[in-house]
Amino acid sequence: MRNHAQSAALALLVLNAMPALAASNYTLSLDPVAYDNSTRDVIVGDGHLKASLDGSTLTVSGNFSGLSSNATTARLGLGLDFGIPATVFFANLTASGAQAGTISGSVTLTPAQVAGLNKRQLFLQLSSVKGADGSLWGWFVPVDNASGTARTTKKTGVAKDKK
Amino acid sequence: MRISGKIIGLSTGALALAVAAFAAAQAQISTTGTAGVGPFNQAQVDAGRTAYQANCSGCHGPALQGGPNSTALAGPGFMAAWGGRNSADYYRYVSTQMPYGNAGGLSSDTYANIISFIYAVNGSKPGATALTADNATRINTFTDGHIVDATIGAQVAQAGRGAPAGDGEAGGAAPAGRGGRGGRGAAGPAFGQTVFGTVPDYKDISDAELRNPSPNDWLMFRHNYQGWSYSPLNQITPANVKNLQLKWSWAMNEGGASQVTPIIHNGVMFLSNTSNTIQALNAKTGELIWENRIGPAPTSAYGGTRSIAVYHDKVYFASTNAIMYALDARTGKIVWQTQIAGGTHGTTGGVMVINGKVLSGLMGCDNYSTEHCFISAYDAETGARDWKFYTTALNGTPGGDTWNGLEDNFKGGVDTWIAGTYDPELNTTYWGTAQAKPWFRASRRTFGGNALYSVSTLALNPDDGKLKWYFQHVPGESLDLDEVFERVLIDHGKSKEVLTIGKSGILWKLDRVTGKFISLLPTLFQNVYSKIDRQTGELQYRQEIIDQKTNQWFSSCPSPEGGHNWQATSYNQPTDLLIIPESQSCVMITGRDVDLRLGGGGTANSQKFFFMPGTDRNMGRLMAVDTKTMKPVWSWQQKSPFLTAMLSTKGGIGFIGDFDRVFRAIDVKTGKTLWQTRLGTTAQGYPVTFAINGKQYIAVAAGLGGGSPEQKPTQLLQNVVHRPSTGQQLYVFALPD
Repeated sequence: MRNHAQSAALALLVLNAMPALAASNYTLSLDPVAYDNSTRDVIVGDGHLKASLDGSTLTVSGNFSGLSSNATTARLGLGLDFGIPATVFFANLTASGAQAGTISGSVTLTPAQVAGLNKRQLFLQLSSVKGADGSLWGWFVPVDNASGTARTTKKTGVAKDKK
Repeated sequence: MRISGKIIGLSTGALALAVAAFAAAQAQISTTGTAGVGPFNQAQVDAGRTAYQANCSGCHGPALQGGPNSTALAGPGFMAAWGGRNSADYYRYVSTQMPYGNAGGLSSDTYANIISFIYAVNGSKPGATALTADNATRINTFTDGHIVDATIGAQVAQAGRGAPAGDGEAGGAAPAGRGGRGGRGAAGPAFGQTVFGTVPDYKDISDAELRNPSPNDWLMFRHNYQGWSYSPLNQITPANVKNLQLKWSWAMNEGGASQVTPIIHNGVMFLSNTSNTIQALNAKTGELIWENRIGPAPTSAYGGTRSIAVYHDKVYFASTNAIMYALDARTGKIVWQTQIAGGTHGTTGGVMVINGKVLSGLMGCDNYSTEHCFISAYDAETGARDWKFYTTALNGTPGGDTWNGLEDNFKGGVDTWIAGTYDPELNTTYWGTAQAKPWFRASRRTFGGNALYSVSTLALNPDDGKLKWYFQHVPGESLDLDEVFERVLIDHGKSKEVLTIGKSGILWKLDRVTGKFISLLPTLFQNVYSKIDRQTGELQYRQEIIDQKTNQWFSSCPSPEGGHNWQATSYNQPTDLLIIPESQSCVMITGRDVDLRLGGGGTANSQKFFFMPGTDRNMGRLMAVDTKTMKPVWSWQQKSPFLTAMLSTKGGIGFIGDFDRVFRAIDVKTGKTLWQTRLGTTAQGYPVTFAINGKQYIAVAAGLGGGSPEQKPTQLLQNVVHRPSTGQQLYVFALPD
């Protein structure tokens, strides 16, 4: 690859990447990750969770549904970045129910994990009987406390005639 | 000329390594089964060989080597994917997911036969018992992935070569060979000219008209040489677009992949269908004037022919089996034909005419071959080849030493599957190139080599094909995030610019005189580059991709769907906006080991799918960028990705269609939907607009087939979008009379 410069300000991963500001509220959507033709009937379902960070304590709650088999474990992991799963996990949450149910729990994060949370690197993996290596995954996204919406979309504008 | 990044020269050590690897790979090809006896019999293998060629080889290759968007079914890749699983799993997968476009459409016996054939090619010996759907034997207990050449055999190799197309001329000439690349095609109408007629009042098209096309016509792929997909027509406006109504429609050939651009001249529509069929229709009434079914029929749902060209008194068409045809525009009779390339090559990107030369790219360079991909030009009157530019830098030529010492025969890819654009003042034509193949650096053994001229913008002199400059967007690209798509030529004052956006979703602006980088804009989420230098245009992969090994899984956002793909942008001149169709999906992807042998290679990857994080499962995204400031102006997203190019007009309307059959009109200034309708199946292709007797029309095709832009939403939206598996058709809309 090329040698690169330099300026941390230019080290943007994404257009809509959010600055690493401390944020107290988060949202997370659970999606099937990742499946191929042979497993697409097994790795299914969805879920929606909310989380809040009070100091270093992260409290998570939400629900899931549509699994093809009973849920087993819900784990938190720190990936390289948004959308990049990891195989190392640092905490378990409580997953109750069967093919639908709830996820809840509180964990104490390290400073590195708090930083990762605000950089959208923290993810949750929900496993099931048929999807032992993960059926649903999702990444925590900071919520705009002013609007209450996840900071993933851009504002729109209106173009003017120029020629 | 720009050369950036680390360039690896040919070294003795590297050459020795390559030779040793080649020898080792050769040693893995056997003539008899090297593994155990499998749970299938010889009769199934024999029947499966025939069934495979008829149903599978079009995508997976005649030698099971895989294709641009399909996996290899023999060798280490197959074993890595399936060796540890049981036969029942594989049967279930194949019988429910294959063939592409006809999943589950074969008999249970046929599936068992095809699978038996695949097992035999992977080293297993036939036994006494017949394979059944529920056989639970683990696959690697009776196969070892050592390819059995004798099992593939001459029959397979022969079947992989299509019969050459006949000239198809009127007067009873032999019909074109059916079958084409990959074996015999589906039954269908006879080939050759099937409808005879004469276009009334046809007017020859001059070079001047190509440089300054009439607003009433749509003479080339993107309407003008600059690739704008913009029309000066303004009868349809935000105020009246809600009144659009269907004027006529036309059922098109089924099968294959349809991504058509209707070409319009003086009230006549020239339309390319699958099966390499060209038709002339009255563009006002939909009445067929002439039809030439040149053939061959498609053998896979891949490789749509995107555009034909018109010039003087001829229609030019590059076929899916890499033959350039000139047809009499008045009658449809073939005037001349020239073979562009042989083997497994094809052309899908469309052709363009510049100063009496017909230019075409080339694809099908996935597998290792003695013939490499190139852009070429042909005399418009005679078909004689004028020049050829190899997009793969060969050894001994500039850039030939950027492939880590690989022999030329093992430099795969760098296809050109989207037609170029042209600046008449600079007399320069601009083309994008695809990635090197196999996709992964570790698979293709280029490692830190840039692999020129992959993933580049090429500026060529159309007179002689000489390279003026190149800009490599991603040196040594490694995730099938290529930059092969349209090059849009825009001026801002004295600044002559070329803009393009590729699968990474990065919008690039270059100086089209010099090739110098000007600026870039990342337009959607991506996680493959850890650094994007907006001052220099240099990208840096995240470290694990740089340190990659084969059979290691990586997250890639966007996926090979793009970002941006063949669904082209539109430059709306009045607003200076580039309106960009985008897709949002991700994959876990791995590069496999490949054999360094002729016929080997391929894309050599496996993929698993997931929705792009943060998008709430919205795969489609449409955005507009101010091309002067390179700042986003508006964007919105929806569940279905867009499967047509963008079209915009002086009337302030944009038109675009999607995977879920919606064809809509938007306000180009805001992106707001003003009108929409539903087509028979996925809206797919390149919408155009034209006028006859002062009335503006909009034409759009519904189509099926294609690579990742079709395959990813088919997988990810399986429970959301339900669409017919037939319905390739052209629709023409206008305001009420």
